[in-house]
Amino acid sequence: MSEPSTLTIEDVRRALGFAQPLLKFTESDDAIFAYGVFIVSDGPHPNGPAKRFEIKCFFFKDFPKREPIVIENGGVIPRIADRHMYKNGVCCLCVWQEWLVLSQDTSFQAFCDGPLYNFFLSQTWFEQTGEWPFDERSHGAKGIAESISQLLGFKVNEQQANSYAQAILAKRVKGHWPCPCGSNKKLRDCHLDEVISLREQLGADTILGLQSQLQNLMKAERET
Amino acid sequence: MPTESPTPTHEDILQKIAKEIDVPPEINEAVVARYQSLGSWLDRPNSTLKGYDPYVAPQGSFLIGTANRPITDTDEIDVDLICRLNSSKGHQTQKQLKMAIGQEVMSYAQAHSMKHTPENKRRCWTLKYADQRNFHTDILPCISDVNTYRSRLSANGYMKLAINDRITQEAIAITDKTDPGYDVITLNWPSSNPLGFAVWFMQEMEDVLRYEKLELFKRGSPYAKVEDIPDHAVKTTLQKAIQILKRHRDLMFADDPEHKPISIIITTLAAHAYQGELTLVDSLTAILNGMDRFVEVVDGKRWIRNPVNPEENFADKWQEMPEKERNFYSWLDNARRDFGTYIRVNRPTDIPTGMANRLGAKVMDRVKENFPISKSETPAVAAAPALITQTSQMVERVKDRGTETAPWCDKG
Repeated sequence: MSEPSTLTIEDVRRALGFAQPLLKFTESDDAIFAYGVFIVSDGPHPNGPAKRFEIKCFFFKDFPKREPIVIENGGVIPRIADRHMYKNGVCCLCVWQEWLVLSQDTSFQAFCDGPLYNFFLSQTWFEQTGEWPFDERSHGAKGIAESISQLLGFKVNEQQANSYAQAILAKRVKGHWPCPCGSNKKLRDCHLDEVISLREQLGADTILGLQSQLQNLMKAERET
Repeated sequence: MPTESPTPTHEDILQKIAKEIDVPPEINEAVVARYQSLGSWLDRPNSTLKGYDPYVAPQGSFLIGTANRPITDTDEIDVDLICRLNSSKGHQTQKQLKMAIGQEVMSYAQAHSMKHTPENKRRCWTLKYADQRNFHTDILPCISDVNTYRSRLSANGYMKLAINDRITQEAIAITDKTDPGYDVITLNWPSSNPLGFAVWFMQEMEDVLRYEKLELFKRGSPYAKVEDIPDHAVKTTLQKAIQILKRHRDLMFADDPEHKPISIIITTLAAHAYQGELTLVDSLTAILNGMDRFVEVVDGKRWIRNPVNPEENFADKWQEMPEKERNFYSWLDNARRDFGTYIRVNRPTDIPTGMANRLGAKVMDRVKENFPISKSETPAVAAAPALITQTSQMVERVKDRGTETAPWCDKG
């Protein structure tokens, strides 16, 4: 676990100043604000970047605790869930907690080279081919369950994902509990190893974050 | 008219820019001739310094291969020299050393009918040549001071540096008119190690230097063995990148040269950030992305350590003159934007206006003699088939790095 530190405008300039030379940066009390043209480019190319997007970003100073907000305001990407966009232009870059857990590096630089760049590269590729190059997460609770599946290494649905999160978060794991996978077996005869290894690997914050997101979404989905 | 390939790469253009900024061979030869002539004068049979085995050698950018061609033909060429005598601190005062060397520098100027009398500056003698070229030479009087340097490094815990003989053997004691001990016999002299800095710099790019020598040898060189090729016969992408960045800085601060970021800071940070990249595109990318990571903060104060004397802060003036710090970061911002736009946004022949202006019209004109470049901000977008190839290559590179992430949305 890295020491908590504050994201500075210098960090943002170091990560994006050269790589995204058409962005400008300013700062407020709690965030660094970046705006301008985002280029989909990973180095020199005889034709220039593959695509350009007008964007606005808020990178909060308590990064990576708070997920950055990235807005595509050029109207290039249709603002529909199937394109991973909200109506107000906010981009759904990834399942944040999943990235925090699965990425070896959760620095701001890694965020820029990972979810931020990947999102606009994915959109460019989707426009050209109709496919998502790095896959996509389903909308809503199902997407979170997919993230938890990714962490577990096998596929679970929303209810199972929620049970696994509970088992992982419990103060003590008891072998006689029913296994969250729904097999009707006891945990000790089924997925105990996976639960124990995830307890050791993941911070409680991460699982708590994923679980509360999952429960809220499941509740919202039941209500509609 | 352009004479080379009509479809150059970014690298071709940057290499050409580096070549046009570099000190031309005739200036290099003149520099060598002049310091050798001064050295011979100080060592002539009836020189008052004859018994002290005077040694005159370049230091600074001419020594490490990062000196630039003057922006215009009338601009001064600055050459920094050391003049080292074989003596020790207890045998004379700083002032005596300074004056002894000064006397011979004066007689050199007279014997060569030089218009300007040498000037006695804080640490050095300044000699101005006003013949065909506008040379401005700072001569730093000094004596060898290896032991003090070595023991101070060990005492301060810099053991690795203290046992680096190639660096420590170059340490010198220098004179300073403002030093309280200037006019008294003392062992406490100001110390410095400009030649040790050069050794450090060369060590930072040792592998690439060897690679470049091997390449030169393969192309055919007048040297019998690769090991015979001197460092100055080749130039690495680190040296060229520093030359480009220094020129960019010079023109950015053409109206405010007093507070521009100093060369030693750009050179040190660039050498730290450089990881042996073999192209100028990759070197500039590594340097501009990473150089400010090596600015430390010690007790709330910015520190750029002299790599051969970690107790010395190259940014020590930033505290009292905050505009120097601001200028460094605003230069870095501009350099990132200018070269980032060129390398990552523009086509090879479209030079961003900011970059063209900060490298100078003359350099751009010379590049234009070989390549069909123009100032431009908005390159055309490629045709669809080319675009798909380009995007799929980018997708593959993300997969190779293993940094894939999938988009999501929390509303169905």
